[in-house]
Amino acid sequence: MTTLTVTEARKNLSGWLRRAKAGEEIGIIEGNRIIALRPVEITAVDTIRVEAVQVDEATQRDMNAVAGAWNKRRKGV
Amino acid sequence: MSVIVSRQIREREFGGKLSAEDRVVLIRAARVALATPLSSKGLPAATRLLKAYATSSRGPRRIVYLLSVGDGTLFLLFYRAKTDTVGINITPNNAAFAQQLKKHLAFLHADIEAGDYEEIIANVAGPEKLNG
Repeated sequence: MTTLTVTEARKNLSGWLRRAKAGEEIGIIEGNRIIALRPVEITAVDTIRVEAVQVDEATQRDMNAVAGAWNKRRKGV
Repeated sequence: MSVIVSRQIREREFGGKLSAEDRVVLIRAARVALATPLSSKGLPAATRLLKAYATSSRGPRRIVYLLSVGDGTLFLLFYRAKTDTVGINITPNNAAFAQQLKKHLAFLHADIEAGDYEEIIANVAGPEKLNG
């Protein structure tokens, strides 16, 4: 692994990033640790959390009407 | 599992075309929505409104689905950035959300009756486009 100080890395950061992207092991010294530069896969979604939303009666009726229309269409009515 | 995206909702939320990345976000959020155990206490039996907080490579997204409990079909209502007037607070206390929800339910209803929607079937291998 090629290790750099923060100052060295900053001087030619784009160049170091290109080399890391190409597969070279590059590390930056921070305190008593070495932080690696490495490419990561970007996924379309990282985290998802789901909750229910409380609605009033009128909205609930509208929602049920949509489901009713859907059921009719599915049954070919 | 089906996710229904009606034409008018698609035009309003995606500017017309649903990108491959947005499609993946929608499907993954739908899978989580169906798999998340929600207490049924106080929730209606036939349909429910679900909001999903998703972090995507394009930033935080707020997705609202109408769930048809009987068959597990999810209908997309909103796909917004976290900072959007709707996305910032998805509760009836937010006037913008309440107002647009009513409109979007009407759009969805009309499109379903007209058969003007896309049905995305999410299976293990990936999404399939069935209609639209």
